[in-house]
Amino acid sequence: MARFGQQVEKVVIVGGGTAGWMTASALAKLLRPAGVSITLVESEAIGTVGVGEATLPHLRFFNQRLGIDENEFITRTEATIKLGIEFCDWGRIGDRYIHPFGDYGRSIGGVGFHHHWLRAFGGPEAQRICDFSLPVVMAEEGRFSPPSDDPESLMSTFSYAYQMDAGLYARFLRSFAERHGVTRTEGRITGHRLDPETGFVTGLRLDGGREVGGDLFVDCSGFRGLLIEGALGAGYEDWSGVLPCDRAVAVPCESTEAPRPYTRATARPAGWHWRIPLQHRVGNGYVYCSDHLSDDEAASDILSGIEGAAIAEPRFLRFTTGRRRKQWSKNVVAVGLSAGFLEPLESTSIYLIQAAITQLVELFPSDGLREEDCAEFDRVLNLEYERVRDFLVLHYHATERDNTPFWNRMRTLSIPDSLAEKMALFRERGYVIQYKDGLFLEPSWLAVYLGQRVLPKAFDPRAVRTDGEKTKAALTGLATEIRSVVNTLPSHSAYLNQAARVAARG
Amino acid sequence: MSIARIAVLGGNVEAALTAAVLARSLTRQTEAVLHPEAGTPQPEPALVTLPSYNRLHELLSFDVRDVLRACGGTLRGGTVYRRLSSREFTTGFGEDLPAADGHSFHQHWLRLHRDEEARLWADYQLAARLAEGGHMPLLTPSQEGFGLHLDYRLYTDFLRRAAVHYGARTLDSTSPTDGDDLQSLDADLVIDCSERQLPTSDPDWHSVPGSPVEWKEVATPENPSATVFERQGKEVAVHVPLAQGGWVGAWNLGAAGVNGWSEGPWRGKVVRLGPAACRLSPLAGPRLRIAQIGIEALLKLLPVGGPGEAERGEYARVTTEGYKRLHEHEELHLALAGELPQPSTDVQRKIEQFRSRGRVVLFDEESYTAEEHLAVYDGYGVVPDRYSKALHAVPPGVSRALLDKQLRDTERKLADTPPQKQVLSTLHRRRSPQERPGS
Repeated sequence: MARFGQQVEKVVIVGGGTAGWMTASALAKLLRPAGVSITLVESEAIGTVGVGEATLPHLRFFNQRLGIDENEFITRTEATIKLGIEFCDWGRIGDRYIHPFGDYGRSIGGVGFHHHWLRAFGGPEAQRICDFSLPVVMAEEGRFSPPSDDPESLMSTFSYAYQMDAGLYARFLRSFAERHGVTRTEGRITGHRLDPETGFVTGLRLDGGREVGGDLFVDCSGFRGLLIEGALGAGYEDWSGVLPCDRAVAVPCESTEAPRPYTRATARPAGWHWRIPLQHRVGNGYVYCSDHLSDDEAASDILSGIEGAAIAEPRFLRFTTGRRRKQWSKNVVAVGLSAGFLEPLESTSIYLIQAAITQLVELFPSDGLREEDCAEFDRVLNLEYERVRDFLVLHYHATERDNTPFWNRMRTLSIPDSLAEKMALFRERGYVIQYKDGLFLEPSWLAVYLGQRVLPKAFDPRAVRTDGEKTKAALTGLATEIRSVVNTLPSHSAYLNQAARVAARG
Repeated sequence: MSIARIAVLGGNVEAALTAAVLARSLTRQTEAVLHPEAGTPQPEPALVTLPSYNRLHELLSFDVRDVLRACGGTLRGGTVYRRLSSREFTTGFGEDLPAADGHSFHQHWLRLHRDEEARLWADYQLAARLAEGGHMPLLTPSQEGFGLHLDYRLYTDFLRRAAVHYGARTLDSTSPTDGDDLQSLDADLVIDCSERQLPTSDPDWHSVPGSPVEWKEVATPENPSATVFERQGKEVAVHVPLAQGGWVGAWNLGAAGVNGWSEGPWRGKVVRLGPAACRLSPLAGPRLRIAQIGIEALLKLLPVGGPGEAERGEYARVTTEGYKRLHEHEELHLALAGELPQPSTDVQRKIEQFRSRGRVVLFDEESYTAEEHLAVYDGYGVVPDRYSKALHAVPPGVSRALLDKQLRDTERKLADTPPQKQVLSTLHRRRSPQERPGS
């Protein structure tokens, strides 16, 4: 009888998209050598969503932990380098800024750099804060070289991620996972078996009358949450009140230029477009709110906005923003879209998969399932989802756009108290609330606030202790130094070509 | 709100510290005025700091050697706990211990510890070994990673002189007295550090059990490098060693007194800080840590002209979270010692997760590191039921080699480190700051 306390020797992963194969690879590398068997059930007949072509820097560490060679990864997934996200038309039509993976300058006398920048220049009209960010200048100039380990070097002030073909990544990981002992079972899931006494899932029924049993089930079945919701009714917390976009349409197109080392998110009348340049194509899409735009209008809008010829028919997705009330219930753990959905405005989909896998490995019930494992998993993941949610809402709320009903709605929407307090403190004095945990740190909040015209009325009074003229001269010197460092770097394309050559040599 | 004048109320160490830090951090356009006669100071004769407190000394441009000389201080490597658990144990200040094969040192230690192949956690930490043995490395200006023991009176004087040096003014004659309305004081901002009375009648006061500490002087403390907590029946004593002698403070675990903290510490223009905002037992944390939480929050939130509502809310959030975590540290000790059957939910979670798998749960605004938590769990004999499953794939020899090397490295460094008494003797032979030109 499956129950809390039972040994976990067999893990069954339900679904083989990005979430499924990332989970399978991590468990195969880290837990299979310890005697855990891993089976992944998927059906070729069921397509995957293929979320998250754009990623965050954390994925590099995931790949490193698995021992994946970066050059091989870049080649096999047609990946490009990502230094940040360019946001166009969000504060006002015509505005643009890059949210970089890196710092703005360095603090002086214990006071954050942006306070000195505000004091010296008064705001972005006189001098963009982006000019003090190495990854922004690299992105704009289309150059790249990996960061340095020397903390004194300017080249240590940034990180980077990838833009990749999520379908190719899943295939790449499938090969990795199978090499490391994961058993793949082809088949459509037609039902499940529950222990009548405990309500634990004991097995899956597949087409053709086959059955797959297990001790722990990882639900990577996507939005429907085949086990977490379908079998255990974990419940769903709907956040569409603050993030009402509920549709997306995706269309890949041919590249018309060398790939840029950044993703672009452009605000549109009822949502926003994404543009993700890969080596072999460009991923495009429109995230929109069905209250304000029909599917046909959305498809027409995205097709008219892409720069190269479309290479596939528009593909539609429907979603409800929110998260599963319990992400680990009994012996089922939800990972990926079955755990929740937050629109990919800040490329958090794969990060949230990775965060769930990290916690699953750390909390893996080696000597038996326990309720405290489930509670701790939920506590950590709930915090992740809530803090990402607040950051996404900021993008919509910090806008002066009033040209469409959608933007009027978003601008005037009632926002979570936690976000309202953060924004008030930044507006009053440039203060950025910081927590021990949470994905987005001070530079990320600064990028969006300042990029979307949330300008502080005042700066930290301690900044005045430094000599104003000298500080301004030092800042100007820093901007010049950043630009001169960037000018010495290879182009992004040259870097990718070099990676391909190294991968080819094996 | 334009801030031209900040009044700092209190004759205690917290007021002197606040005045010094404000004077150092702000321009001469803002005047910090210290009212040392306000309230009734209830000094503890000896003070203790955590390593994070060194940030304030750095801000004040203090050389720790000058502080030790002028304030009869010693360096603190950690804490020794006696008779709270079935055995004596030490918590050393944290250091990054090496990882191996993608697994943290503590997971390797847990694995061997469960099979009784590992020594105590503190044995692998240099700071804990220094604290136990009364050793200390040669002094550097910042002495990162260590806390301090300081003479209360000397340190308060030292801070007052620093406050004046950085431009603060001391005003005795017009100090407010008990019962004065602080909102009507002639200042744009009033920092109330005073110890007028325990503000339990305040509706914002969150009460927790506590009792007064009685202090007595001791001539020769046994070990200058560690703060020692010692239990005798229902009484706990804290031993604080100083360069010359030391002090012992004792309080009753079972007494039905009241401690706590204010959940609305900034009203109008009056900001509560130090004992006016929070009072906890020494087992929860040093009083200078309480002051540090308030000062560091205040520095980032000094009014800049707006209505200040957001600043008040954030100050309350950060400080009450910090005080709560300190109080939970005491709860953690008492719960593990079997003295607290029903600790708070967060403490229950911490204990449950460590018992379950050796996971150290930390929340926002914690004062103690993961390593210090680990030493506490280990000290009370909590052995986790299991360790990371992923580590099962790593040969046990890797874990053994890692721990053996760390032990050898620690013992080698320990052997190279002189007794602190010797270090202090050399230090005190040099000229004190008062004797230096320009001090």
